[in-house]
Amino acid sequence: MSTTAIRTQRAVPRIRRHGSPSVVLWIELAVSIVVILLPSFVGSAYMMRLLQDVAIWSILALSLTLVLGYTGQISLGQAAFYAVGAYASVILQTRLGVPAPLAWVGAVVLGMGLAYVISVPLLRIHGHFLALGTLALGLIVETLLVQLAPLTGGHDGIRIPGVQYLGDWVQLRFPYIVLGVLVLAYWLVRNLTQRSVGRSLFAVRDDPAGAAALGIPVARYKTLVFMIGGGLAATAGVLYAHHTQVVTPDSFGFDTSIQVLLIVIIGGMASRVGAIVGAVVVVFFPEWLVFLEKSENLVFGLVVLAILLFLPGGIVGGIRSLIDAVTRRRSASEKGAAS
Amino acid sequence: MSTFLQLAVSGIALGSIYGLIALGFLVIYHATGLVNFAQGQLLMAGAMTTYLLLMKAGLGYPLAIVGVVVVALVLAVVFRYGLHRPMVKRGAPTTNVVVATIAFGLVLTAAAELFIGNTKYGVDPLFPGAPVAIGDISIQTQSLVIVIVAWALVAAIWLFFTKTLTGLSLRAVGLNRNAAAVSGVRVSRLITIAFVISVIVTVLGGMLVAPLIGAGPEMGLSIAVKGFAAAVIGGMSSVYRGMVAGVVIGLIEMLSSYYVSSAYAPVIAYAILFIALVLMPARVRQSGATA
Repeated sequence: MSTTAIRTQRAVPRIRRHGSPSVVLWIELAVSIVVILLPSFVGSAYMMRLLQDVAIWSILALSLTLVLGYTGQISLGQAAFYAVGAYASVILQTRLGVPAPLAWVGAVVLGMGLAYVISVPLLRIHGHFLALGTLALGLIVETLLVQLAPLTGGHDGIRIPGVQYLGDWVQLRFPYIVLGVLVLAYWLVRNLTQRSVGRSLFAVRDDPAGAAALGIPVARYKTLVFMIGGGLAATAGVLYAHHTQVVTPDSFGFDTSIQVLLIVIIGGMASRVGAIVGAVVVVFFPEWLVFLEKSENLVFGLVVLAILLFLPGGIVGGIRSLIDAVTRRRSASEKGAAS
Repeated sequence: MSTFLQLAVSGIALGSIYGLIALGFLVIYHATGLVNFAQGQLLMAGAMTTYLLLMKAGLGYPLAIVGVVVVALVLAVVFRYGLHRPMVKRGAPTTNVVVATIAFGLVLTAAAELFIGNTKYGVDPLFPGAPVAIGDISIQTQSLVIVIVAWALVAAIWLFFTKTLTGLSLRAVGLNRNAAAVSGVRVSRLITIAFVISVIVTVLGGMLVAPLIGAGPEMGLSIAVKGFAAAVIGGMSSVYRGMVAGVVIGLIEMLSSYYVSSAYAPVIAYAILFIALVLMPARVRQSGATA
């Protein structure tokens, strides 16, 4: 056995489902509607801001979940696509006068385009060296954001006042757009991963050679997933730019890529719900645990290490195995009563 | 011409540090197939420890060296027995272990930021005094120290891997773990030795580089990326090739920042890593364990 052979996740997490598929589907639909309507229940501007933060991080985390969880490729460069989405939409609107909807679509297409162009050489890189490659990509984009000052505004970034570019009506309802896009992103990832495509992706992740032998177009699927991941990250970037109304290089650095990775680990790799749960944890905990102050980063790092050691499935994986244990015990006791 | 030579000397000194990072990276990679992302943060830990012992505590260099080695041993043991071994024992996928090395690096950075603060601190060189003048160029003594110590370390590690039984066994573990175990090699213990060597080399690299560029919690990443690039360009194989590649990268970095543009010099270094990865031969990509 070659020790450097790439071993990825062993178990396919989503073979056995809890409840019948139609029940799960109805729950997902109901929760989706509640999520879209959430802004109308939120009173304070502070909570509204946190809500949008969670939604944007969730979309970013979904993009990484797709790439990392479903195809086992570690990407340390999601912030690059996030940056392209944010900067492209802002530059198109403020410098070139493109109307908002067109600029947003253009930004997402650019993000996917970058992902496609990058995926051609990146697909040559195997296993964990991909993480190094995407790390280099993220750092290049980060440096360029600062250095291409005439285009990107350098360290000061670019301001994009919402009322001026979106109008009063849209600006007031922007939270609904953010949460609506989150729901769309969730369903995109859900439909992509639950069908035969999803099972093919697991096969690609666990045994690329075997998958290829079964006639799965491995390279095409990897490119596809990388592109959709890039597109989702760019979408998050567009939303971020309009949410904060300013883009600066600080928001799109290596730290951001790492933050996304932490969200995915905390929530649970290869879990759509995990991406959102992780985002909730990462956004809300610093607000609640204000007493941690400066030690916040350290505590978070230690929590992530603990999760990797003791709860590899993250929060969602932990809850799932808890439910499994309970239902198994119940069915066992029922059997015992019957006999 | 003298400017060129001056830059070349700095490039070689800095590049030797990149080579040391590559060396530490390769030792773990060959023993376990693990890509260790905490390299840069381990180097940072070395630099910060040097700062604390030398500048804060006021100990001299001899005691500081001992202290740094002790810290390196502690870090290596925590890394191996607190993180790597438990994860591997539980059958964690390699992806998770790689992510764990990233998290380990984060914890190191966060701890340094918390206890010392996020600024850069100056560290005294080993031999204080005026730079040595050779012809037109003047060389900082620390640059000489870096080059000599770094290459001595490489030579020592090369001897270890080619002449000692332990080193040869370690190579056997990298080539084929099961066959090594069957031949009576204590695989787990040897992997621990690999971790210890890797961490000590990396931490010493931090100690060497601190007087040149200062010590700060965020210093690790940019150095580590160039170290990774050196390892990849060196073919992920022998230790001295990684070292030579490190020197080449150091030279390119110094020269391009002067002759091309200091603003874009980092981009050039990152692009080198990217291109090296893409052009990496398939043989290396699929099974790197050739010592």
